[in-house]
Amino acid sequence: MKKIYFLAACILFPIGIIFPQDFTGIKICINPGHGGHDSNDRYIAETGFWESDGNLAKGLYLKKILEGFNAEIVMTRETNTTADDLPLSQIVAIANSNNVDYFHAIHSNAYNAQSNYTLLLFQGRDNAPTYPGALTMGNYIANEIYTAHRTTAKYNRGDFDFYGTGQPYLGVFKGLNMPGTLSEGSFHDYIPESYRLLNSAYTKHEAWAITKGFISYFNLLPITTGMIAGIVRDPEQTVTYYAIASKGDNIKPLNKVKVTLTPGNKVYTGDSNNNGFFLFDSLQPGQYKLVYECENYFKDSSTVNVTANNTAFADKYLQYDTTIAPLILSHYPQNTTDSTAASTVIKVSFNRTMNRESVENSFSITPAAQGKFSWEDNDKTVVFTPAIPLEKSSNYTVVISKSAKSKWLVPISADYTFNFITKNRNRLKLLSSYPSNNQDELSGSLQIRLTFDAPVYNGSLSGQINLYDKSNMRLSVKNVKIFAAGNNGCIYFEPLNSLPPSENYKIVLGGGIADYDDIPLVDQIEINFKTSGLQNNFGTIVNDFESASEWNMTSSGTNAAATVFTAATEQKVNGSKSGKLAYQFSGASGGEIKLANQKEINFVPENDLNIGLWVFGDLSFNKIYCSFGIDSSLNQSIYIDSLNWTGWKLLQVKMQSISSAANKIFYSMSVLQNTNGASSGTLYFDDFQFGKPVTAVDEGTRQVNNYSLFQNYPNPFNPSTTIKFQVPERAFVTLKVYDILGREVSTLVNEEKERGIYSVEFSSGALNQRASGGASNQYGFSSGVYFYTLKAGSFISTKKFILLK
Amino acid sequence: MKLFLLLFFSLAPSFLPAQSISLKEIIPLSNPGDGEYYYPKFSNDGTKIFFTKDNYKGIYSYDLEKKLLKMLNDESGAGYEFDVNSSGNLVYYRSDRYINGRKYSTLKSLNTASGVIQKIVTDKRDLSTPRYIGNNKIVYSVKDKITVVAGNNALKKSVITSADKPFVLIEKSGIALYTAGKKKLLSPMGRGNYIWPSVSPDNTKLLFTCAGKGTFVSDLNGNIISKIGYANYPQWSPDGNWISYMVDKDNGYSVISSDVYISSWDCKKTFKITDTPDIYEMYPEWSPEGNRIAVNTYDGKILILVLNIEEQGTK
Repeated sequence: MKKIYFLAACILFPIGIIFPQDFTGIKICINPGHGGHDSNDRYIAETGFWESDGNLAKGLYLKKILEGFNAEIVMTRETNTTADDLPLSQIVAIANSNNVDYFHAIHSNAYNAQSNYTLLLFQGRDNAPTYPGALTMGNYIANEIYTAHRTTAKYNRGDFDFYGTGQPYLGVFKGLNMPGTLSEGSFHDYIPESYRLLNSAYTKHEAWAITKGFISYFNLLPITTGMIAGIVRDPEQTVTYYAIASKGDNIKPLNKVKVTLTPGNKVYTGDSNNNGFFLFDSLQPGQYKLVYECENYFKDSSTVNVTANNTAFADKYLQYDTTIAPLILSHYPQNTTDSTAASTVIKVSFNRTMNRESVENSFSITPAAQGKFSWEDNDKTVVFTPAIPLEKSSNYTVVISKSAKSKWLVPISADYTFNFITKNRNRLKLLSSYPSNNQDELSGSLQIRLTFDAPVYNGSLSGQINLYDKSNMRLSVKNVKIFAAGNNGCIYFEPLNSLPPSENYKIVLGGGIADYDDIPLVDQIEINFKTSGLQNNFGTIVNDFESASEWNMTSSGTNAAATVFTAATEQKVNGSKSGKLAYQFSGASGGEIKLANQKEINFVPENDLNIGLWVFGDLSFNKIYCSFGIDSSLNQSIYIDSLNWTGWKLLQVKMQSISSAANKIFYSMSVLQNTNGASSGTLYFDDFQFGKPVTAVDEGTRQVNNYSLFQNYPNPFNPSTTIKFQVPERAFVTLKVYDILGREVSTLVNEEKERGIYSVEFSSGALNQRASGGASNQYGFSSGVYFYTLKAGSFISTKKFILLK
Repeated sequence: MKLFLLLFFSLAPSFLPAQSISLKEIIPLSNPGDGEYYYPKFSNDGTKIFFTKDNYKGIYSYDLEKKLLKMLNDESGAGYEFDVNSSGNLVYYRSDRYINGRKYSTLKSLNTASGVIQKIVTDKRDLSTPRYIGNNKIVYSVKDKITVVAGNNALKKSVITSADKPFVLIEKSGIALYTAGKKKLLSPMGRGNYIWPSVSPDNTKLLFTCAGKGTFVSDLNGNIISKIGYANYPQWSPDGNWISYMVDKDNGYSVISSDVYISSWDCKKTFKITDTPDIYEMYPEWSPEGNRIAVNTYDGKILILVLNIEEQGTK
């Protein structure tokens, strides 16, 4: 009668009944993921861990545990060969054809070697699983593994959402005829976890965690036994690989730990896989004593309370036996032939925390070198940093004498000696500089170039290269380029603002500038130079290079793809652009690039005029020529200059020096290859002009101590005239032209000016009127009297001039 | 006479027709409705295709002439290894539900015309999928114990006779071959996981896959006759001369390629039927006349592969 009632109860209330802790009649398919030791079986070289091994170990333990509870287990594999790496379709078919109640795939995860969380996956959306039971089971297992492995977090996700596909992704679930989950218990590429996964007991602990998930899922009674697990570490030592400190993984685990459990006198002997893990399972609830032992460590113990269905964690820090002599674990540099940079530091690592003073006193180096000591790794590593690089090509001997003592004043057992040989180089050398020391007549916009005998390490440059004016004011720089050229290292830079004319400057190179072997310059270097006098436009602008369209480039002996003429914004004298010629000669000599002006400019036949052209030099030592048609003779080439500068320079040629002939037509300018010059370079051109030359007075050397507005010349004028002014200090300057009725008709200058003397061209026609950097206006003017007024701060000056048409 | 027949079949490899098989065309099901469908199976007269959803939820029929899709049921697990009687009007299937994580299955028959569903057994643990063995007989097992029922409408307990087709089930990961009511447990490749077993149409050979070891043809005693190799979901052609299968590859997470192949059962001839890197044809099933194969793609489209079979004389 009782049986009938019980049977009826079971039929009427099948859900909610707690079954005895017995899996009888329950079939489970376990799929230890991957298989074999092939390239797709997830190998971690640092630890020697194969995911296929770890998965199988967990799977076999899970099978054994569950079969102990009378479950029927179908394994997709029980060995780990390449043949065991089953296709997904076969794995699914095994589960289906055996008609199991549940399918579970066992994996571990990998990402960036710094993550270690627990991830469970099932088929479906996060909140809409294909089989509702899989979501439930995923939560159970995620929680149990997270608790057992003490990972950083736990997740239970549907593959549609986790992989972002919105549809089935994991093939191991596709076509599965029952609920299924996949556990990525922890991360095998996180090195501390990788070492732990090599521990058989650790995989067994995960198998227990999954078992507990199944017990919850099948609504069975919790297991009546408990477990004790833990990790034994040396609190004085840290690991050298990435480890999550909040989990204690940065503290070095101990190998070959012996843990004895009483009552029962069970002994766990740890492995040598750098995990320190131990486990006692199937323990009856109650109080236990653990005794921890490890060679060279003091024995220790703990008391632990075990409760049913739980793991009691009993991590332990074992204290090193301080009566044992410390050992030297490693030194640097190693004994190698001619392979150590002279800039090397010297490191000696001990296995114990050391007494600093005794170690520093025990240290000697021969040949002698001065330097400083520093300490790392909780005073287990001493670092000696020489004050200057060691001697080159020298055999050094380092000795740590046996007076070096541990923190507990126990000395090392014997003197420790090692040797190394330094490389044949111990200084970085400055091979050349532009400007060279004491060079003068330099462009204010020069590009400073430094060439060293080895590529320079960028990280050594902070604060090490400085440009100063004559008042020792540090000047800002721009366009810094640091690069290697063959075996050499180059640093190029320009002053942020063009340097005022006729003044002295210096470049100071700090001794800390170093190459990639950390070989420094050591001694500070100063390079003094002086800028040239003021240069200004003097004539009518024939071409302002705001466009490259007026110039037709032809070349011979060049690499055509790398030889280009364009209008560019990065350098300019006036306006917004200049002409940029990037070129590359293909041979050793004979190369030529010609820029022909399509207008064939016919100059006014006055021999006291100059033609002028701003050229931003490239220090290539190639040559600039101009070609003219003179009377009936075509293409007479005139040498202009050798490109032995950087920055802007106004080149001038006297028309009279070309020829006294009446008709002179400008055809082209050319860059001719110099056999001793650079095979490539970049030049900029601006404001091609002609007019009366500036007198040979070095205006930059004048004493500019006050504001002054000079009378224009010529006056009267037609069509143009030049107005000069000077400012004694940086100031905002306006120079405007007014008609006789006081109406402003033109603004020639409206900007801040450095101390100096300036000239502005004013034209009565539709020509540009500009000062350096000034705005352009276009007007037409009638004959008559006009006034020009200079304003700078409180200074105001007005002068009259006459236009005759 | 039986001895002669036995001799004939044992020498059969020499008498395989020399044919060449290639793909004539691929016909996708037109207007199959929304959703993805998998595991197609032709009706016995070849005019319909049955299939199911991913994870075997429900059974659908598609009339190839009328191009009409019909949902026969939407039950969990119904689409897994369902069977159809010889006249095609009854579909036998297993329907699953889970109580406290345990699978409880009910065996049902469904009249495709009237839609009437009959329960054969209800809420059984470890119930096999049904096998239609001819003569209106259906076989199933509960916890590896065989039951036979017979009849069109009112099903009655029956027995297996020598006139009934042999059939196979998976028991304890091995092959359980039932011939004339007698069970023979076979593990031709030793201990392992045996899947996709089937008896040849002439009832003389066994086709199966042993996971990780390959697909094989054996006699009914488990003696290996030929190795097909890496060949998943192998299926006999209706004339028993050929075996279709899929060669699917995956990266451990997801399938990354699959094509359909056909080999002679002695594996002396093999034809690659599809060669579509972007389309993964899977789970091939022959049409009753043997000139078409239905497949599903990995993303749930049903395709019909029309075969070009050319006679090349006989050996």
